[in-house]
Amino acid sequence: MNRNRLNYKLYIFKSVLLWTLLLIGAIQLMAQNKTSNKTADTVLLKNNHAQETTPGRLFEIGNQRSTGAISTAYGETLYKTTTPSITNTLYGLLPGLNVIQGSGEPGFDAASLYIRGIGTYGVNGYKIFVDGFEVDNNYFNYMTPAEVESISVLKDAAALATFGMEGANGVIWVVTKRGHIGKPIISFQTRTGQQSPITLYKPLNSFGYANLYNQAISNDNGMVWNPKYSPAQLQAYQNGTGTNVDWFNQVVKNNGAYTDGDLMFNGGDQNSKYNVVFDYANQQGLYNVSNSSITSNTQTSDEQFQRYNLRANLDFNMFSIFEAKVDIGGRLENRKSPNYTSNFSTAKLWNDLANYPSNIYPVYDTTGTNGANTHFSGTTIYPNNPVGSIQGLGWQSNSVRELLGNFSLKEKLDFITKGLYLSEAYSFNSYVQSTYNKTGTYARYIGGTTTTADKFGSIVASSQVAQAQSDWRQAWFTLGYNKSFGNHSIISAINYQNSSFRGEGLFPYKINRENISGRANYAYKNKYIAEFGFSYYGSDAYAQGHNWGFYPAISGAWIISGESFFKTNSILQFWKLRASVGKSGNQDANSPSNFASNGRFLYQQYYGINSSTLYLGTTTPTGGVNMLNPLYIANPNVFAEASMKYNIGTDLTLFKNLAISFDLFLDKRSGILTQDNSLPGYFGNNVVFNNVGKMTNKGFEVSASYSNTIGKKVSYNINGMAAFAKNTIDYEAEVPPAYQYNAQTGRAYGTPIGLVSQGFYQLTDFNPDGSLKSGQPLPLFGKVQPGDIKYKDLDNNGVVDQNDVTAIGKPALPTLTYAFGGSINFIGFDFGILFQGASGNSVNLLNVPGMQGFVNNGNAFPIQQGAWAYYPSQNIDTRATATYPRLTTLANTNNYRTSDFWMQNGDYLRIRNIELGYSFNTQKISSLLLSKLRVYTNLVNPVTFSSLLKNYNIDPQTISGYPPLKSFNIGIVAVFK
Amino acid sequence: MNNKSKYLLVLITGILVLSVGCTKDFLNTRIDTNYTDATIITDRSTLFSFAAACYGSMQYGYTAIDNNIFASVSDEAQQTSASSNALVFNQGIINANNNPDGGLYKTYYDGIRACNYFLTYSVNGNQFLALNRDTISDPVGFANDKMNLVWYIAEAHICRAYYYAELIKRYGGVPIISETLQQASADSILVPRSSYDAVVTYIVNEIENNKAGLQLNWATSSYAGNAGRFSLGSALALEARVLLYAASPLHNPSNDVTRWQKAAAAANAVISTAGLNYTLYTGGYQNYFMGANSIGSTETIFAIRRPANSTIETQNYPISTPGGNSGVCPSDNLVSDYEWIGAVNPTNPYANRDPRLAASIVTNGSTWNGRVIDQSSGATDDMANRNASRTGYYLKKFLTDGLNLVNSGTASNQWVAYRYGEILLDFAEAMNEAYGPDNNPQGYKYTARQALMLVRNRASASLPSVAAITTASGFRTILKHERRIELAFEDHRYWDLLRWQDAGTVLNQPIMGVKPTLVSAGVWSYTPITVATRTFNAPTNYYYPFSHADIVNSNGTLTQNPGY
Repeated sequence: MNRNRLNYKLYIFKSVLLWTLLLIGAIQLMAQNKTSNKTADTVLLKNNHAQETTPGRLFEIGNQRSTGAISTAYGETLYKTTTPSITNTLYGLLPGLNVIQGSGEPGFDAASLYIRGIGTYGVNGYKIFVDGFEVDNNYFNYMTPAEVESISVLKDAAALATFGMEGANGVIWVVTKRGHIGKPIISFQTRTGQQSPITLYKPLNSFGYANLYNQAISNDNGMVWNPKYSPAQLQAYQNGTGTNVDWFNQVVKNNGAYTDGDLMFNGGDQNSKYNVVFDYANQQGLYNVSNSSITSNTQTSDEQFQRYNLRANLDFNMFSIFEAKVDIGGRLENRKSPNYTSNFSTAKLWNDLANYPSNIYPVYDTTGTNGANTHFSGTTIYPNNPVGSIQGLGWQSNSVRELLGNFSLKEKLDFITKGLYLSEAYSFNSYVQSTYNKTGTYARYIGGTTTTADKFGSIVASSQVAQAQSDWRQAWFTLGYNKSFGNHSIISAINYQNSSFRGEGLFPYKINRENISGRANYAYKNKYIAEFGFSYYGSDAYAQGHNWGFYPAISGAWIISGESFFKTNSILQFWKLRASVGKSGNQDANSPSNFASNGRFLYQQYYGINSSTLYLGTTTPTGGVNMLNPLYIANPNVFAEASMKYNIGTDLTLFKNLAISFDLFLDKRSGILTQDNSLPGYFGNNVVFNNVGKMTNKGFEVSASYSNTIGKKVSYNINGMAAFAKNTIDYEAEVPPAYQYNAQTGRAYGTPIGLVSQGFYQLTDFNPDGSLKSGQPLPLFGKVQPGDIKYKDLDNNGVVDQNDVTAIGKPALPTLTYAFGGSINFIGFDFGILFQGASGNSVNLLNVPGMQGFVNNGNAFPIQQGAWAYYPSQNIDTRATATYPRLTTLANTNNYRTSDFWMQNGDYLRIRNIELGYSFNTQKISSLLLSKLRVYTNLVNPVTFSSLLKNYNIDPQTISGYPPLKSFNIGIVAVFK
Repeated sequence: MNNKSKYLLVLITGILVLSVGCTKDFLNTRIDTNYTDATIITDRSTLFSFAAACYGSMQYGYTAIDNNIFASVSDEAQQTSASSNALVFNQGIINANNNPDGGLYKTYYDGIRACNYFLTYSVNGNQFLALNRDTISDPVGFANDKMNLVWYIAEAHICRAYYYAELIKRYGGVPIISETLQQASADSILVPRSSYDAVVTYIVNEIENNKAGLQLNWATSSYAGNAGRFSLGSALALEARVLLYAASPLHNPSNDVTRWQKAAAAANAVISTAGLNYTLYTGGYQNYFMGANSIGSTETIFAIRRPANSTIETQNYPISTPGGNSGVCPSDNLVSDYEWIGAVNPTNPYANRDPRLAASIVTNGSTWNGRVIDQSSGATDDMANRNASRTGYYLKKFLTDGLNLVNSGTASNQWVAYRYGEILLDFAEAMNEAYGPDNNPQGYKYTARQALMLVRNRASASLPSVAAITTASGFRTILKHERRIELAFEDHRYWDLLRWQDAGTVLNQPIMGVKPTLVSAGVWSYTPITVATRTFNAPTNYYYPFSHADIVNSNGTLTQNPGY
């Protein structure tokens, strides 16, 4: 412990020292080559983005002329949330983007994103484009806000018209920062903070455990009091002489440190511009061990995530006709974790923490010859001593090396005809993930002897293993034409783009796509706007001759406030109506699990050698005989799922300062690739996939923002947004259910289907021999006794079974997300706050580790203190007040099955960030060559309102695994002129 | 710059860019990491891989349920784990939506599909075997392959018959699928159930019509390396068991004696057919089931083989043995059925018992895993310990003693599906029902009593005499008892109870155990305890329910078993 603390202080000291040196160095550097005392160009300081334009594919367009449903957030807004993954900065900023928090595990904390909810039960993956080229989540998740100019969500048919088979689930469109024409600017920002769990769902101590265990074992003994733990043992637990290990305390510390910093150079002239960003982030985990150095032979490791981002965006103008862009974005990601992982995640350690009771054994086995704290305790039932898991197994490290390079060249062909241009671009994106582990093992001891098959093994280094390698090359040619004449104005472009992804694996594979697309926006008098977009898209996933699809979209807008009858007035300054309709596709599909290419090539019949189960010979066999089977039945007509999207929207400006935007949408899916579940069992093992599924998704988004000033010194902003999306499965080739109310079809995707509970069985429900009194439906999930959950017999057939299930809650994805917040600036101080909430989803408590109590040698939690119990001799009687079914040590298929009893409302409202900052007076700091110096402190996720959190101490979004984090940070921003 | 040079620049740029542009086959990226129709026909070895796939659905009996033997489903044993799949059977709550063994329905039809596929695919097999091969210079290899193909084709029929036998044992009559179903023709794939008897007839015909193509006896042929595939002996044993089941009360309510006669004749064929030469293993009852002894023995008719492993030991070693999980705990119901071979020992109820007890079950006070098992309070194997035996007994049959699980020790664990000992008992039962214990009007090799005594005498010469029992019904009781003991844990008990229609009585009895209390060193007293109550809903549970999905998908052509 002391060593850890010392290491930690040293670490803080080193960080501070490093950043101070960097700061001084940067000041010195600047002092040497700056003489001008002109005021610095403030392009990076104010929020004066090109907010008059809407980002989009092929061309940006003036907001006024945009016909699509697009929401946009800007880099410095994202920076307000201190977190290493950019996905976690998006909460509440983009209407129509559902952001679902994952675990808080360093390096694995990316949130799941859903654009306009879920439109398909197939693969619901959205696509991400950075500067016009597609990237995957690996690249996007750990971009830094410092390199991002804007992030937009493209939602409707107009915005997605040119994306073809990649558009159906929406697109995240990222634009990175570019240089500006003017004096060079160096800006530097750093922040550091402490992260701690939002909540820990902790079990009871030994005393609490033993008390409840006595109840449970007695319940299993025909409700005759039969304690396993004697009063003396209970007393020992209570007074601290019995074994009582708080595994959470042993393994998890209160805080983990987070630090990041960016250095940015920006400037340029008529011929060249540059923006260079260097970023570093370091996140430490919550495990109670020190992070050993890379050369150390110690077996311990905390979680750690380090990230280095470098991006250089360069622009060159040549010969008046050429505009060239060269963008290089590179990144190193280093992750380290205790070597107790599955797929790099330490989630199973958190399951152990929940499920290992406090009284099973002390951390170390000190009996016999093992006096010292060197031998970890462990048993066959509880083999993975949690302290051993972080101290005895060595560590695992995982490195990602990523390089993105874009080159584009634009030729302005004004000399042919005014407004004509041609451009070409090429991009590559290379990704390598490799692991290097130092692993150890330890023997488990009880009473001085080993209890399991494990043996001590000193630390060994594994060889470098490449987990993933891929190259992604993309190229495009665009021919564009922009022209205004009289009342007419046209902006148009036609484009050919191809994309070739090559992944290395057991077999190298390619994913190639081609997209011929175009977009033309026409405006008459700047009031009536029509846009046509299309994509003719070819995918290599389908049979030759059958692999191209045409996806058109039309849209229009009417700027009512531009009409002459609409006189300028003080209430309504701007009013636009928009509408769009169009088709897009989704080529990502689920596939047979034994086939490697994820829904691709299903038109081709394949045969697979299964792992053999035929062994022969008259002696003990070793190798088996190869077995060959068709993997599935090929479908030559397999094709991309289709989406018809309809959107109407309006944008308003009221009272000069209030901007409101509203969108209503409908998304009809068809042809979802679906496994045919209607084949009888005797058909045998061959599955068939058909484009038969149908789904409907609809909803709305609304956002509003009000900015104003009070006098000259105070400015403020208040904003809010809400988004709603609800889907229905219209057809999914489901096995026809016994009753309509059993079905998934007709309900929202992911609707939990289960039994309907009716309280607990009471003593009066039973005959003296323990059988249920007549007249009550008989549950078929095992013998019931008082305190068990009673279920409704929906089909009134006298028994409760699997046919009595129905919808018992809402899907896991919230239907409604909303956010509101504001900011205020006065005399140098600024304060901002963002609330974000979600509702309309259910959480199944059975997915929370430990919810089943003692079943399968589990543990006891506070929720189980509300268990039904009746032992008058022990003064235990919770019959009237029980909130949890009777406890048991045996598997209980009656109580622990999906039912509305376990479904909880997942609504929450969370303060995502609060920031208080102070900017020094520009005049006073100009002697330091600074044009801006701001210090601030912020809180991330400080407060959460949620019934789950309040009642059960369970986070509403992350119910298992590494906990989600909140943090307290301080930061500084300095801009040198 | 003038316009001419601008044109030139743009042109040069355009040419440069286009030259790195697309290729014609850009969208043809398919990589065939698996066999395709095109690659299969270039590789003749795939023919035998398709043939081997016919065996793909054979079940390794050591992982039948809960990754363990099927015994806890019957009254032979109780699972230690409270959340076992066996519980669904134990509590009689099996239904169309909840059947831990229900996946086998599809698994066996997977196997049937593989057989059907191969039988169609191999029609021109000989030409296929000549592919890419000089049949003149390699006549031996070619001839061997052709011979192998003949065997494999016959075996595919037997495999299919085997799967149907396993299906009707569980479901009663099932749809007979004798060709590869194609999805395109939706109506033709709706096949109604055939009756139990019709499937039995189908199985018998398949065996009779194809047995000529089978290898007589792999072990004694020059192809011993193929042992483990179906042979004439294993096909006949399959037929014998199927006919025995078909003659049993559950499937023969009118007690048609000709069915018993057919069963007797079929079992006699296994006993008498020249060249099969099955005998009882003489190296000890316990040893037979251990290691590779079974697959080397002439008692074994058909065994499902696996590489050396420790599954059965890991599952069933006592929890106090490092790495053990207690697993299947033999019931006192079974233990008390082992006969006495001498005087009752007042201090040790496990002394002077049928030696098959000590060979099959770890009893308190016996030595196992290198220590004396002491389950009394406070001792190493204290029954109060978590996950200790719930009955006071541990499984010994099949298990290799002293395997060091800590050091990843493994043993040869081969699952014997058919053995001569069982065939003798099948024969004895059929003979007794057809002709009585001592009559042999057909001139078979043995009478019922002679066959029984072969088995009993192998176990111990000291077992109580059964000579006084001369009625068919009395002898039936003896035979049922002998099957319980001799075939314990071999996945016979549950099915025997069903076919005898005894399950309604026997499987509603509570599972009993004993709780030892230490009296003095090496001496314990034993208190009977009730371990668990059992529920068997007769007659519903005599068959498995078809899954709800199958009933619905059949569009009314598949009728559910009564009661579900």
